Amino acid sequence: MIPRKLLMCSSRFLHMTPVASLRSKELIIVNIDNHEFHKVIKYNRPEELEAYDPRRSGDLRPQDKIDPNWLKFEFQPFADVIDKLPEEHRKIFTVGFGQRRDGTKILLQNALSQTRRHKYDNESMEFKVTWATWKIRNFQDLFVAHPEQRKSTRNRVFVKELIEKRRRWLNKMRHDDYKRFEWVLEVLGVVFKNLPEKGTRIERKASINVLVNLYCNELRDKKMLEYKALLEEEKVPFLKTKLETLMAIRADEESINIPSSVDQDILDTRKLLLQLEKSHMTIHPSKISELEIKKIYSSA
Amino acid sequence: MASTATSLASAGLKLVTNTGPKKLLLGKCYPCYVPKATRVYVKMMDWDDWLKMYFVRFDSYFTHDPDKIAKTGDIVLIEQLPKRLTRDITHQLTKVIYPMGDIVDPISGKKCMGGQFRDVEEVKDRLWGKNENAFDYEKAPPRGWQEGKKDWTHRPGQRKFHEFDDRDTSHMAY
Repeated sequence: MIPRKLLMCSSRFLHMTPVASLRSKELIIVNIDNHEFHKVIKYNRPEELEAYDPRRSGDLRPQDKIDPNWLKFEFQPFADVIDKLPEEHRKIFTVGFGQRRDGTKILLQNALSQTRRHKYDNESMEFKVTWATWKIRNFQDLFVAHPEQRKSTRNRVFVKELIEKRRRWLNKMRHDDYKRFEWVLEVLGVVFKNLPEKGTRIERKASINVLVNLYCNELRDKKMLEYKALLEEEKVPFLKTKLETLMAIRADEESINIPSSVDQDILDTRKLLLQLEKSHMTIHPSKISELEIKKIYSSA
Repeated sequence: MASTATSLASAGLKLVTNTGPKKLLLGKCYPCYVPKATRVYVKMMDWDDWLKMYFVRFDSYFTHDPDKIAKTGDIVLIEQLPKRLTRDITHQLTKVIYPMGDIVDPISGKKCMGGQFRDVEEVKDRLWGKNENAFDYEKAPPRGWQEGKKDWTHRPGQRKFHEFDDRDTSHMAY
């Protein structure tokens, strides 16, 4: 616990501790933060991301880079003529000499050449989805290069709505033709996840509850597995002692000339022992090392 | 519906609900957390004697499916088990009737893509000059090759609530 004097005096501690701690609730907050489970479970709140963030939108890769030596889209049919020109003259027809949208137009054509069904395809789902991803990634690049563009509500809302539209289109594709949907995901590098239930909020207390439950369940499972392994280990020496006692009983019976009553039991225990020795190696190979197994068998 | 039922009962009328033994049911698969099981949603109809009309109700059943034959969105036939397997599992999956995203026209037996026949679509593409890189049914692998990579629809939707260090949480959405 940080002494009150330090809290009040040092500005270094002031911004590190919660504001409420300076009030009358100080003691309570400190007590909760010093609870024992904090040593085991440490809650890290995930970052809150904007809608256009690629981690949230599901875009796995950014927009391809523009090569300034590409010819502009409108001059591409005349590439044979333009390529023969000297370099200084050719430069006028290239992307590097024009605006940014001259380059992105070619990127769109490159992306569409991968997915569209034919040259004049303007309305298929593949076309829509590729166009949307191209547009979204353009904006994502813009927001990285020029952060002041994020302030524009028009841009932000446009991207958010486009991402939602793309999700809807992909979902429709999934229902219509699953194989095509999977192929589009692979080609464009987009991740598709189920949406969480409506109205789910991220809360500290609720998520710590989940983490404690997870921890307890895993601890219980681990302990149960260890206990099961221990019981499995105890089976072999028990059966060995059982076999020895059965053999002693048979020897006694033979000494008094009585037909032995434990022949069947001896056979059964031997069979069980053989089975266990085989299965013991296969069931828990990681739990019990070979050396430990030798110890068990030698002691028995 | 319970509130309406009680109110109707007080008025001396009855609400016929679709209850009783349900041995064979047809429903749609949804992802679930229970291991070796799928959650199946079945559409039920409740008859309202006062309004003389049906109301839709969805019942969910956990069905035993150890080999994971059914995938999310498939329409399946389930059968009631003579005895409960676990606390949740009451039914058993018998057959996948309509796999999702693989529609077959029942009259002609042709494969479809949404509301169109696949053959017709291919003919159209060929007439316009088919793109070489475009999707091809013959080369395409069966459904499920993107499961756990880019397609996470087999897991229930969940929001990321904690930054885990020790496990993979790529199925969680931000």
